[in-house]
Amino acid sequence: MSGCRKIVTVLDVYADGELEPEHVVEIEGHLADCESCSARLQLEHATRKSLRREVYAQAQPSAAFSERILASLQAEAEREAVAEVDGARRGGMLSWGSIVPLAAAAAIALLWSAKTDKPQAVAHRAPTQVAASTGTMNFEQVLDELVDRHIDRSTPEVTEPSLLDGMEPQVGVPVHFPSLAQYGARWQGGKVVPIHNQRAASLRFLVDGHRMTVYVYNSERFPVATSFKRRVVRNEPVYTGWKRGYSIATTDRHGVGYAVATDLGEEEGAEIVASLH
Amino acid sequence: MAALPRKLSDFEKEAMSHLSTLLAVGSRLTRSPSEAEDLVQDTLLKALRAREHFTPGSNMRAWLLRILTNTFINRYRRGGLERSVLDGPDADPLADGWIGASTMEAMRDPESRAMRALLEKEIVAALDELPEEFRLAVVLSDVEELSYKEISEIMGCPIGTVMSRLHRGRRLLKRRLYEHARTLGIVGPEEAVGPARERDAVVDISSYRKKAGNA
Repeated sequence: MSGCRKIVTVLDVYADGELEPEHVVEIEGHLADCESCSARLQLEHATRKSLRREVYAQAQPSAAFSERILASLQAEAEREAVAEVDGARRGGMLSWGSIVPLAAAAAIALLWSAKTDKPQAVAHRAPTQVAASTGTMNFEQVLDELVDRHIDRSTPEVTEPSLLDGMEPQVGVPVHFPSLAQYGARWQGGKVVPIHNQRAASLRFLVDGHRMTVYVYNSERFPVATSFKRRVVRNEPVYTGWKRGYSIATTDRHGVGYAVATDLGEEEGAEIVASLH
Repeated sequence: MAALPRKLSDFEKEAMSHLSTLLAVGSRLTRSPSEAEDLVQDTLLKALRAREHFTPGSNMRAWLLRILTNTFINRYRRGGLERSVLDGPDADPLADGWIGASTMEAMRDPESRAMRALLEKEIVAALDELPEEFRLAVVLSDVEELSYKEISEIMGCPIGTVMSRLHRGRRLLKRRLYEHARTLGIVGPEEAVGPARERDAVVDISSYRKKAGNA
């Protein structure tokens, strides 16, 4: 019995097959004599066996899940193939097809920089994007478009959250999957949508059965609505207002604009938009 | 242009063969079927992007489990795995060897099959109650049967820490099962022997581990 205490401490190491050989001899000698410790070892093995069986039994991949994984691996492989072609093009000769929009973008960036005090921010973002002349931005019109895109029920292009990063070249700012699980938001999917001749990432969620769209865009091009109500949520300025019965909340983080369109209240939208970064 | 059906690469085929492993471990980490599925998907996409870092012929299962663990930590636990208040020096006074031989036998082989099923059902619930650091160590060792070295690489901690997490995790698990077996009437009450005495016996388990080269 006196040996039991020491054996018990290392019995699981023995069962794992990771015990120093000299101790193995000692332990096996003890196990041969001690009913209690050999019952303990058998319980150790039995528990592991049950654990192995139950952990696997309770998490069997469904056929739908396997298909979803295969599809996402396939999409990723295709995206890589496209990126390689793009990379080769960038590294080698430029085709006419890419020179023209690049030149147009450069011209517009120059035009824009003459009008604003922030030339470099526009010049280095999204060089391949052809921006239409923005002139004086009619924010009401932008809001209208945000609501139009929010109401639109077409199917999303991207449902795999980690693939949202791939929208960056089109949108011109980093796009990441926002973690909104704490608000009970269920991810539906995303796509790149045109807003006022620019491109924005549109990320669709369902919150308590209410549709919610999170937009991510280059805020240099969509100035924040000063006509909106300014409030401070989590120490961040947030602008909120209504359009056609939908609440819109917007904010700006280091040149990245975020807007949330929803038929939930103004408070909810403001809270969610403040959590984005 | 519509995407042509593409044949799976060898890498993808091998990775897909670990799908049920990843889902089993991911389910115990997240404790949510839908979050586990998202976690596994992220894991495999990351693995695909990082495939040139994988040495063909080495243990892909352990490599994927490391990506899964890191993805879980980055996504849900910015500060690392949830720590346990029990992860200090012996904050759990529960003694090893506190359960008698007949009780252990009754827990291992309950008299009726129904009892056994009830006890087995409880085992995953008991596992899910463990703090993450213990839970992951127990799953990687007892379910996936990985070596201490592999677990230490996956969890990014020294082997001694793996051993201590395993030991404490298993002890908590057994206590839960014992309590459950008592509730079900499979075993009778035990005399509490040990706690006070057990604390005197401070043993450095790591010193018992076989050294490299002895394998």
